[in-house]
Amino acid sequence: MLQELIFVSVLGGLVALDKTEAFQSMFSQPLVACAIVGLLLDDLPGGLYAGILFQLIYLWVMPIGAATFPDPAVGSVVGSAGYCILKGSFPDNPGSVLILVLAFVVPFGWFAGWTLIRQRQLNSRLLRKADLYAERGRVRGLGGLMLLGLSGSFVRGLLVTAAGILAVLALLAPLAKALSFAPEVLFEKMEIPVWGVGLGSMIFLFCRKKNTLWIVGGAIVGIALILL
Amino acid sequence: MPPVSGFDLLRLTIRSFFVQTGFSYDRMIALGFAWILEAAAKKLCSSLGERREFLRRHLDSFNANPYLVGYAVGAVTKLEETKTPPEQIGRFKESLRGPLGALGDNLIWQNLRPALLILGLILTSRYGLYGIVTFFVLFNLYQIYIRARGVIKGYQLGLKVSSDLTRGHLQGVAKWSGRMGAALFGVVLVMKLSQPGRGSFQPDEAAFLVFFSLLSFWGLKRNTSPGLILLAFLAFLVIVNLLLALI
Repeated sequence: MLQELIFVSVLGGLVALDKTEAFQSMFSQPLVACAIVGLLLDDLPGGLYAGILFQLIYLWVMPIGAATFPDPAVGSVVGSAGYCILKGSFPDNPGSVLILVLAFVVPFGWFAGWTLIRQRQLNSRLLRKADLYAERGRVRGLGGLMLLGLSGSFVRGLLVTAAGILAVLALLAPLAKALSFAPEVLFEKMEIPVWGVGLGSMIFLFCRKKNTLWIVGGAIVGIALILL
Repeated sequence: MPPVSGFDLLRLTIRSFFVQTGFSYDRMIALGFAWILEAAAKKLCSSLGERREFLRRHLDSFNANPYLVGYAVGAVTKLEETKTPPEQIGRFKESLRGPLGALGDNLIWQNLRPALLILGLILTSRYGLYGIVTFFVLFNLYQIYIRARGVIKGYQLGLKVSSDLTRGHLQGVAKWSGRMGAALFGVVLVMKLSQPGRGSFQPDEAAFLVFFSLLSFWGLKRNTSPGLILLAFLAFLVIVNLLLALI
């Protein structure tokens, strides 16, 4: 188990890199990152399921310029790892496990976003160092500063993920045990508000007057898919 | 000095994937931008003094959407190669900040990314991993294309690079991504309304789904994170359930 958790923490470092510092390949989107967590923890269905739900929650996040935003990448890696671990420990209570993980991921995503802000503030030091290199005409020196920037981001992701997983194990496991006596039927419908958040984000992004025909067309295709 | 070659443009394109490394709030992507141009610095600067000035001016504050930064990289390389006065290069970079940011944010963050993600969500719900692979491959094929196109067009057009930005490729992709996103939203809406929970259609569940969708939309319109609305609801649900269980 320890080995898997180390792998998940390394994955947290990699998604932190992908999200802001390098590539921006969308490997850090919850849909992708959570599936990899599922593969690492030998629970692909759990990873896919968590990935879909976290993606719906974070569909609206647009990391534009210097805007402040939660870090869905690290947050969802921690959340999906927590979901896969707790689901294995409480197989009869998937609903209450889901509620706890969702309630943990949203504030944790903001915390991870805060660490990103701090890291970007620290990056100003790299710029000051770069100014010194410029004074000396040391063009090659920038490569070292870039490596420092990348390392800082990776380490931030790794540490925040490791801390998040430890918090899940320390806080959520006892809470899941406490909630396990409540009838599971009470928690079964938790997916609905999550889908509501996703649909609300889609309305926000795509519901324009000029898109009306396309939405209606899509709805007709949806009906055809259901009938087929 | 030898001219900038195709291989140099390839190096600039590859380095553009790291443009946001070292992002800081005071000078934004300046470090990454200067490092990208460093790949061609040998061919652009002949003396130590030139290199010093080169680094100084490109470590000035600069920002652009990371996917479209290739346009600025290519155009600035061209201007440096033709020994354009530094003040003009500075003004040119400043004039590109707004368009590259606005066009890129509209294209990638508001249209292409969410549209492909909705496609990925639908396919993943039905076909598992294939949905994720489809999203990832489609997005990255376009990402590689737009970065390479940006560097090449920027280098070819130099000061006139804005002509390619306004010609219609970016607007066309944004428009069609928006339409695809709208159509996929229609598909998801019908599919979820017909089966809001895990079982068959339930009118109360469908009404709850519509209520929460509108509540989230209302929150986003007022700059309130839907995650916070969800969190408040979860807290309410847990407390009520605990009380019910205790009673």
